[in-house]
Amino acid sequence: MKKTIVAIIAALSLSACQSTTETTQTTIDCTNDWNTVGYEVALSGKSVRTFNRYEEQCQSALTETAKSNYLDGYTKGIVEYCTYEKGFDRAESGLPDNQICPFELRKEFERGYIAGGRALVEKKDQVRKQAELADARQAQKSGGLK
Amino acid sequence: MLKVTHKLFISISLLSIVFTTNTIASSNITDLKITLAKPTFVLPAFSGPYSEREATIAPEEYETAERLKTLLDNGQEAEVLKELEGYYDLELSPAMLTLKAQIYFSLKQFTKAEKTFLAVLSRKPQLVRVHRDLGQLYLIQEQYKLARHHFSEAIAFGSNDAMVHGQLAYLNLKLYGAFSAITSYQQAMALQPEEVQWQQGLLIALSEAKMYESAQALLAQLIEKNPADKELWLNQAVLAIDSNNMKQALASIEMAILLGDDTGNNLKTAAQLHLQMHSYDRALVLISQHLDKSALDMVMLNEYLIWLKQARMWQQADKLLVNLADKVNKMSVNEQSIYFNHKATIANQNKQYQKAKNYYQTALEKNPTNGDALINFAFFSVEREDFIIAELLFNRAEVLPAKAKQALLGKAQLYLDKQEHQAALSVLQKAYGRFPDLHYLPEQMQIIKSIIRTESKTTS
Repeated sequence: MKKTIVAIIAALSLSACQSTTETTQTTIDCTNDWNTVGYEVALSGKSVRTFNRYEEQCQSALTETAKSNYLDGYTKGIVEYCTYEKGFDRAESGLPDNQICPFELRKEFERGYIAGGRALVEKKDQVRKQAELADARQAQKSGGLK
Repeated sequence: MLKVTHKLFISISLLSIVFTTNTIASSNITDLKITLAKPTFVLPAFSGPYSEREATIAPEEYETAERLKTLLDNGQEAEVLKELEGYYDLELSPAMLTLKAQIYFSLKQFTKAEKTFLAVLSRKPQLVRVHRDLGQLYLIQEQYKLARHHFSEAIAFGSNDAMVHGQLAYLNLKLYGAFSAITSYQQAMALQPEEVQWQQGLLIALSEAKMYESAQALLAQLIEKNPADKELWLNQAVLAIDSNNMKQALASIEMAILLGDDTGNNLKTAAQLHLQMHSYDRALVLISQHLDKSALDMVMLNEYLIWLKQARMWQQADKLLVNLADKVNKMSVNEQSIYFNHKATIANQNKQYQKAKNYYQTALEKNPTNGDALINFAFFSVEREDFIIAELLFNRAEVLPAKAKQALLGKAQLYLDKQEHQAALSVLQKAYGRFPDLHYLPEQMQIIKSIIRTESKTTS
């Protein structure tokens, strides 16, 4: 039974880790539409500091307006991101609170995150109960055969 | 008999020109000006971030904020800025971002301050203090419409700060006229009743809106509290002039002068009012005071002499010129020419004809194109029956556009005096050709023609 629970929780956690690893390893096209990049970075729940990595990668290839365009897009994206629903989804997916929402937008996101966390616990609890039930049935079956 | 009548006609015409000149001079007398201090605004000193009520810092910023506060208390604004610039704006709470903008503002980095204030407002548009600070930033950059917008936003979002009301009033006064400023100045005064700039602003707004009774009531109250404030007395003088109460105007200006006001315009206005009220001695004292105080301004001197001549105060006018005798050598030749022209007119009035002639000659030696001197000397010569000189002077004046009309009519009169009717007619025809506004000339030319016809019949 324990093995089953561990396997399910590990699977839930692993999906989150995989997505983080994927995004951090993406290479960037330095001639990008930086407004769109900023917007997408924000919507994907990543820090505004993601741009630092782009700066390191691109260096002189970055245009003068790249940063301000990126920040404009990011600002727009973060307003859409920092909602109750996104907070809920993130917690329910078992992802850590990324703490990227600006102070004035934080409240709703955090409320969602707490609710999502509760939902995740319930989900895990349900899975655990189902696994226990399955184990019990399995044990019953084995005893009967004996 | 007929000849006399004709002469009278022309004389009346010429007199009308003189009359017009006097009317213009008289109308100048009624154009009274008092110089007042302009309404002002005072920017408050940078007061740091912790007096604000509307925005709070994020919990994770408390530690940083305490450290920055210590740096700010030690005047290390650049250090604070360096630390804040290490963050992306979105990572800072609106309160901390406001601090960053305020530091840019205090370090006079206005472009960055504006951008940062706007970034704060894009995140929290209702931050009253940011609207106020941004309004002040625009105010000192003389972007008055933008400044006004942010002050009105601050008030719309509930600001009850006298400074905001007062500055909005100042901008309304500047941009939209007095009526739009009154309520805001009243609001500012209600919050800070002792603040001079709101009192002054409200007074100006009320005066400009021609709400004289309210302005007078406010002023009376202010004067009662500050009887030694010359500005208030000057304000009262302005109100009195606007209400056409010249006696009170004069009394108020005199009070301001007594309290030490020596602004040229105000001395001049006081002198004008004294002349209007026939208190000539005091007028002369003020004129002398003004002329002693300022660098010699011939336009002003000219104006004063014209007033004194209108009041037939020849002796006083002469005294004024005598007092200026020391300064004559320092004048330009043109100014000297004006000076001697006045001396000549006064000498003529005093029947000192040789002296007058010498002064006119000196005036024209100094400036051969002094139109006033040419015309005055020409008429003087006509009176002395020195017709050749007079004709010559009229001819010289005729080439000066500003004096051509007077010169032509003067010359025509001269020929009529000498009974040279054909010459007079020819000059009048020329005058009418150049100045069609002399609508009475055709009739007079007709009369002169008939005289010529009669004369030719008589001689034949």
